[in-house]
Amino acid sequence: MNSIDDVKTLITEISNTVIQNKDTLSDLDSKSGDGDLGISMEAAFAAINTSCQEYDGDDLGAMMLKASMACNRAAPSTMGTLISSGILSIAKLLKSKTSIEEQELITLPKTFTEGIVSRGKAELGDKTILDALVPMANAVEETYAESNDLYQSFKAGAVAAEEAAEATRGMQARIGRAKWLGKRAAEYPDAGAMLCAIIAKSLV
Amino acid sequence: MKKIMNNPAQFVDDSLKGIVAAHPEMLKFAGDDIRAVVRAAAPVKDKVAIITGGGYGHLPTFLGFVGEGFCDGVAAGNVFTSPSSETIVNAAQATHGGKGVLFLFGNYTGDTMNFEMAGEILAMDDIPSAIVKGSDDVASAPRDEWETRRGVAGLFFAYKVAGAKARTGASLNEVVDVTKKVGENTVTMGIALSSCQLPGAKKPIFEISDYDMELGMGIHGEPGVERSTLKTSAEIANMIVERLISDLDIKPGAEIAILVNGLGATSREELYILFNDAKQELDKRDIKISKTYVGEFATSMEMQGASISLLVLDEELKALLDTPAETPFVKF
Repeated sequence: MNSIDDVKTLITEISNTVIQNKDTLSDLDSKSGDGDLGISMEAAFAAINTSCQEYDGDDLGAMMLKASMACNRAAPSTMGTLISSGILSIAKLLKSKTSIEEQELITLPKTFTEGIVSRGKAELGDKTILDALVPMANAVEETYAESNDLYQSFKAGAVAAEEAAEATRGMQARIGRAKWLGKRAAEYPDAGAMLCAIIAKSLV
Repeated sequence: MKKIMNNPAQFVDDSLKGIVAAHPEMLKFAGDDIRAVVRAAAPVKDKVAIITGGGYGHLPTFLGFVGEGFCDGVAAGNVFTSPSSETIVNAAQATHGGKGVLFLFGNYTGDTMNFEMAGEILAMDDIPSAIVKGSDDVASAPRDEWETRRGVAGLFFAYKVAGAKARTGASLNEVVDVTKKVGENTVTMGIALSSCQLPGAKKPIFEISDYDMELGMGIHGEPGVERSTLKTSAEIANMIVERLISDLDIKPGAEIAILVNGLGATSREELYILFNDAKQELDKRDIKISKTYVGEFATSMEMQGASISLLVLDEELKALLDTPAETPFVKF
């Protein structure tokens, strides 16, 4: 069982890792988008972390709802809104909960993914964050079903996310700004998928 | 291009503060969120609340249609940028009168994501909401994909009808149905003669020579159907009306409402010249104008140009367009 303080620590961890990698994200994004992904994700994750640390109640859902709003406010870009939507899905799942069981923790990547799918309406293979997020969420749940080991499950998730993000290299984007570049951006991995791999790695 | 302002970063906030300070009897902020402006009378009990919003820079769209018989509140984003879902939620919570909330806005990706997200947040508090989007710009997609079109000036018709219907005490579903009917029967097409400039930007958002016009350009400078040398008003009216009529397959004998909208820097004199020519095109085809609106409804800051919108009417829509309504920007 994880308390609200454990969740806050985890969020700080994720946030710091994303911020440390902002230049990598911006470099990748400038190959296919407008190059502001690093800056907008720095703003988004700094806001998420601050919002969670300042929350002094004991309702995990309420804390995540505030974090989702803070992210949306700090980064109103497409990726910022998608991340906010993923967090909002988690907020709905955790509504009125003061702690989180291991079995629920395992399902959070999938819940986060569902929020992004319903908002962004992208599909697997479109060369988006989903191409890393879906394999990661699946790997976490499948490994847990076999091993009942939380650490091993998230480790498998991180490996799956990294491989999947790398595998977006060569794919042609079918959605968003990168779509207009066609083959020109195909040689680079998707910046959103890379963001997912970075977050997955920070969880273990 | 020159602008009267203090600091580009304060452009939207300063403008909103001015509007609310000028019309305190009609408008107020939703709590301490100065991007959420609602009717002074909000929340109105037992009435569907209508919330609109989008990027700033299109006045009277969107804030100018907050008032009695129109919308109840607006969420204003930065110039040409979606408002946050938090601001949309703040506007909705400040206006919800117990009968649900209609989100009515133009079809753009950022706005759609944020209004959808706001709907999910309201649902956590058991406030029902529904979305209807304006998708009237015929230049942005073919008829069989009309729901993917951009929302432009024709959204005004949806505001007027939805506001009038909500005032009768209708349910959320009833307001949604009649508003969707407006959306399906509204078409718009515009021309741009000059560009506009974001506050603080060094250059206009697109380049166009003094001798050219762009047919079908969007209200944020999105590329249109074609660029050509500047045509006469009669030629422009002919091209646009022809296109609108064939798009909706409007038959002789049909009754319509027409809106001739200025994009911000085109004079009323010119708009009435264009209306006069559009009327002749409609008369020729035996299409009857029942309601006429000429003026600025959806602008692109200081852009020169105009658009023509048509709404095919039935008795219900005619009656709803005829109901009185008033905001600080318009009165009918």
